[in-house]
Amino acid sequence: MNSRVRGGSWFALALLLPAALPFVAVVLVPALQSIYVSLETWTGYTPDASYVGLRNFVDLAHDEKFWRSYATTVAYMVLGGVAHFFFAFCFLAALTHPRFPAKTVLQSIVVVPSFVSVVGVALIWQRLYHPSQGLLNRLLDSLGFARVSWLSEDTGLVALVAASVWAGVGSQLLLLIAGARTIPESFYEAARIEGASEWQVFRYVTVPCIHDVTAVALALWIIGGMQVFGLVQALAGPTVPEYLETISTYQYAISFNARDAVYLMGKGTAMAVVLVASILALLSLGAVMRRRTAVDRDPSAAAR
Amino acid sequence: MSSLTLTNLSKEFPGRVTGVRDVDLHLASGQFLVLLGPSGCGKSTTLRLIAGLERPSRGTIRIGNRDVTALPPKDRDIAMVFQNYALYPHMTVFDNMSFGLKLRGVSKDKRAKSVHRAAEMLGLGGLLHRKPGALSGGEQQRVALGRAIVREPAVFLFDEPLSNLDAKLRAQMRYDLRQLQQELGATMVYVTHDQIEAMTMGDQVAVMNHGQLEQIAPPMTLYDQPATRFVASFLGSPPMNFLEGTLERDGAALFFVHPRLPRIALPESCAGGLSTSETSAPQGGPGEPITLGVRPEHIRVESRRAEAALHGTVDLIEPIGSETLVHLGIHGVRWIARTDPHIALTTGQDVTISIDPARVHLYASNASALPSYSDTMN
Repeated sequence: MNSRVRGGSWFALALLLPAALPFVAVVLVPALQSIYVSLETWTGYTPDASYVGLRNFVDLAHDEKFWRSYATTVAYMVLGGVAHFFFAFCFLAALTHPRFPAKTVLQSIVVVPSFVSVVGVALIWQRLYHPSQGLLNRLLDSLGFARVSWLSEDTGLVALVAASVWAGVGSQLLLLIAGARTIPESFYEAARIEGASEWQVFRYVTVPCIHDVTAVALALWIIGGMQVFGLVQALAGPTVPEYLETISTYQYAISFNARDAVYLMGKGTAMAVVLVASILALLSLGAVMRRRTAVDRDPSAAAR
Repeated sequence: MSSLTLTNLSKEFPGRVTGVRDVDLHLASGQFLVLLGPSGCGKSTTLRLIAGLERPSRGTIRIGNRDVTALPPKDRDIAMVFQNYALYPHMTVFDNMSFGLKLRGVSKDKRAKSVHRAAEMLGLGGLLHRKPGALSGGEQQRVALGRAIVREPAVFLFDEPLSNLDAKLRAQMRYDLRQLQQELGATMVYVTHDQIEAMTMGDQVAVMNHGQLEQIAPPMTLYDQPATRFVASFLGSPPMNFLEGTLERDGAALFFVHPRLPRIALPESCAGGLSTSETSAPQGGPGEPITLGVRPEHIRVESRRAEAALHGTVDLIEPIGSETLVHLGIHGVRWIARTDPHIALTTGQDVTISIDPARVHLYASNASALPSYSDTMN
């Protein structure tokens, strides 16, 4: 019996090997290496690097620019999250309403922008936001209002979030739709017979029934939102103004951008480590909160 | 509780053959109606039309003295129990049961009172704070029933509610549901394809086929006097035996004739009825093709040979305990007889088959029972 179990686990390990080897080689080793690099001074282009302990992290802690980029990133993630999910749920309500006309048209309009590459998105929105030639300011002109400098410090973050919603709400919506499709038709019918209006059907049936899918979509947004790089770099770059600098654009700038001809790979890697730790902390917090509400909603879940 | 009246109710689905065609029925207040039929016969569609989940193409639906044809489901004063129960996984049993009352703005105290009363009736008292996922199939079934009861609707609708339960639980729920219906004096419409459920539960059973109502009657009337060949074949297990042949008159007497079998005398009463329909041919007049039907329990199988009688061979003997089913081959036609459990027969044996002419059913080629003959059964 014992030998059979042991033989079984060796067999299981052997089966795992083909997947485990590349994982160790291209994920685990570089990850551990990057933690090591974050403890060194290294430009990334020369072989000389020396171990400096936690100096890169201490540096970061005293770097005001880093903290500002951190705050901007969190603001983008929170504001963007609210906006993305607000619009995604509005569209979902329309698409699950039995009498909403032109569902296919709406779904296409919302989803197609998510096929556009991030640079393409930036080009489109740069044109919209252009101070003199942009559609938005020409619209304001024709209505007799003063022009707005959209990507300025006052409105830059909102402008960024708007572009991000346009480009990204479609993929959020697709996840929610996929979740809603798994709800049995009888759930809706029972609610209608029980006396629910279409809004109540959405509020009491659709939304709670896709709770799990929403949690996944939210986790994906938190990961993507905290890592935001391409849209900011392409829309506000090549030199991103300080008020729009996010962790990733700042990291890019000091790691291997020739902007200031400094290549601080060690410090940049330390930022990557901080970013990963922040994301993990946020997701863990989310998981704990979710378990709390699950237990609150179903005491028997605590035992599981 | 209220009565329910369907008039000319029809539903057409574009691109599909069967929907529901011209269903007329009336269910008195406090009665239990079973809609019975095979899959795709239109019974569920009829129920969904009553619920307001489908719009009829024609016809009207009245609950009590209200015409509800154009009303949305929530304004019809109905409750429905679904096959998959449709309990919300994120709500507790209590919340599921009080959902309808909450949506209708009933006060919290009243809601709690109604739910607790229904829970007590259904033996759900200890489960009110559980989620549906933590309940057995039978318990979920009762919660779904509870959700319907708390609203005290005019009509209860059931869409095959017992089909997901095991056989033992199903028998128990049949009994419980019937008890509950009598206790509440509720008007109920119940869809099933299970003839045992239909026979045991219904005050009235409506048999449907191809979107049409074949017959509506109390269960035993349906069994004893099936109006159509379809009803005759659908109800009863094993099913009714059939034989195709023609009618023949010999003086005053009437016979069923099959080319390879001795003719079968039909009762006098039959002859009188048929002679009138002779003038209004082709309704089963002499010479017309006709189907003879006889239930397995109305066939006698004897091992002694009698000349000028119906003969057959024993193909298979199935002892069930309380009775024995004997499969007979009669010149290529397969019949089943229900016999005494201790009958002494062997497979392959030649036997004499006699049928009780008074219990014979005749169906004309248009598949309806001959009206005159049905009358003789009353």
